[in-house]
Amino acid sequence: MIHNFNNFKFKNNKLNTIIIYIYNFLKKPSYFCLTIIIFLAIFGPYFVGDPLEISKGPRLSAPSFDFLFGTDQYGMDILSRVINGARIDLFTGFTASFLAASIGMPLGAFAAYKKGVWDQILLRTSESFQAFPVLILAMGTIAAIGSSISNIIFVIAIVNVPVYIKLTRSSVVPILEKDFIHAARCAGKSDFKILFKHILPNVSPVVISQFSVNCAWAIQILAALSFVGLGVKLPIPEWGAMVRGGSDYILYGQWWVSIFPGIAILLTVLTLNHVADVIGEN
Amino acid sequence: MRIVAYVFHRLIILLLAVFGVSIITFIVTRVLPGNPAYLIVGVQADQSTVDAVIDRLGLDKPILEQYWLYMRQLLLGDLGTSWRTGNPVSFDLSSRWPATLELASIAMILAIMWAIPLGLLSSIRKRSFSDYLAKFLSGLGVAIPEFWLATLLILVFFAGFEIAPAPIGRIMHASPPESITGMYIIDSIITANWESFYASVAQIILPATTLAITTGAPLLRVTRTFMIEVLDSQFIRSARAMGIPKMSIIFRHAFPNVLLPVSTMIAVLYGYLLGGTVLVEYVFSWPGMGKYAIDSINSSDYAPVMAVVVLSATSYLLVYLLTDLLHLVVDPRTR
Repeated sequence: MIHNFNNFKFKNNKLNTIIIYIYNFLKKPSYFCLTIIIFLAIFGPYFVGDPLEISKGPRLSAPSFDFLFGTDQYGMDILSRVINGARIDLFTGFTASFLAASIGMPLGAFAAYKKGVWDQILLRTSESFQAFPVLILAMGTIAAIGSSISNIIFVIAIVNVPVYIKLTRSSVVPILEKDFIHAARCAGKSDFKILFKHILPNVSPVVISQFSVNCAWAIQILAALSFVGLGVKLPIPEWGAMVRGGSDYILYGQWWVSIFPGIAILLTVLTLNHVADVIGEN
Repeated sequence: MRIVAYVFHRLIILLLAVFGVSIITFIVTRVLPGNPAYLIVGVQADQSTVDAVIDRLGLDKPILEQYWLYMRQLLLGDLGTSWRTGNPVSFDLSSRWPATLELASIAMILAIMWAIPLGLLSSIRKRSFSDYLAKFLSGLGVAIPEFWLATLLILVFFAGFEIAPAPIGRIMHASPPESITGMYIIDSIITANWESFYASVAQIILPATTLAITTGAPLLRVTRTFMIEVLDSQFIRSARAMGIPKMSIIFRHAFPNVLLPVSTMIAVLYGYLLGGTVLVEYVFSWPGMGKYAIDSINSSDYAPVMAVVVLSATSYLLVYLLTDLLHLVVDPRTR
């Protein structure tokens, strides 16, 4: 074990910085786990074989050395499906919360900056939005507009926008009173420039932390939608849909079909939440 | 007088929020692509049938007039008719609403029962076993997918140990009690019908536990964080210096100060539960609002879905209002 890695020197100074940065990044358990999950999502599918191959093994065979996570009712390899599922789940989670952040953050900052009527309208709208039963609303909307992945991402993003509006607004308000904002205003900078160059960079840590929580939540919503049969449909490897597919067999003791995808959701969400905590602490 | 003004102010905000809810629901139903008339009659229907439906729903009228008609219907308590069950939606909901209310309330009670004591214990004894347990459970409870936890509990307690009844509906092997409130547990206590009391309690334990685990986690976190903050404050230090017994410091001096954030959290969670039991209801075939909504969605029956959305949003806002009013009682500073 190298205990004080930060003092360790390579000859190349730039390389040194990069390596120390990567080391410090991976030193935190949650960042390490997140890196592994993303790595598995990107490269894993090339190693575990086709997730859609039917009758790869006997139907519903228990976990063994041939099939580490067992096989499902069509004889598909569950390990391969769980790893391939990471792609679709992570992709949806990241895109949906990125979309939500890029709509909600400017709106929230705008509300705080403008004050008055716009502020009240945006605030009240997002409060009303938060009173809604998110899942039922998302389910109803997706059932109406069709359950393609882009529609699902869009709906999950929309229901998450109010979170960012409220968060950004509440973190921008105290910054508005700071001296450097007054100085920027005295220097004659435009509202747009003050907002995007001076205010938003200051709230970005809070928003990034929220982004991580939101990814986790988006993954949970996607899995829930697929579980009730409104999101991604089988046989596409998606964790929620896989839990649903196995839930018929669980009463007969064939637990592995549902359990492994569920653990995948749990671990991913746990990691993302923890990453948010770590970002929040710094 | 100030209290009256405050209550009045809060009521106006509530009305504004309900207004916002109605606008959003209206937009979602009307502005979404796809003609709702086709959703009702099906794509193969001939033009005259479609026209009749469009005329009945008022879809050819200007958007503002449509909104006015929609609001008038809502205010008159007319939530539309479900063509799947053939009943008015308000009639269907009158049996489903108590089922959800019962499940949410029991779950909330269970959550309070485990989360608050553990939160207190972990804040008092930092770095102890109970502290780590609290951290672990609060992390797990937030992250665990509800539907998966429900499946897991069924696997362990129904399929595995065979101590829980089959996860089908609200009551088994007994007739439901005479309907007074619609909540089986309360009704069976009132009518002293112990057979159906035991049967309905046995049915509710697993779904309520699932929800209690997931909703207890944020509650635990809030209790722990605020309790640690209060225990670090000056007045607790002076109370300790004065030699006041530990129990008295915790329960008489510190705990009342966390009641405010904790009760707000309870309100938020309870309000959320009233519309958020969908997945658990789905897994346990619990005939509540969430199951009703999913069944309606699956057969493209939109009036019930919108009714459920409006009803649970309104009840969320109401719960929130009630908590704010309760704060007047709990916290003398707000008066």
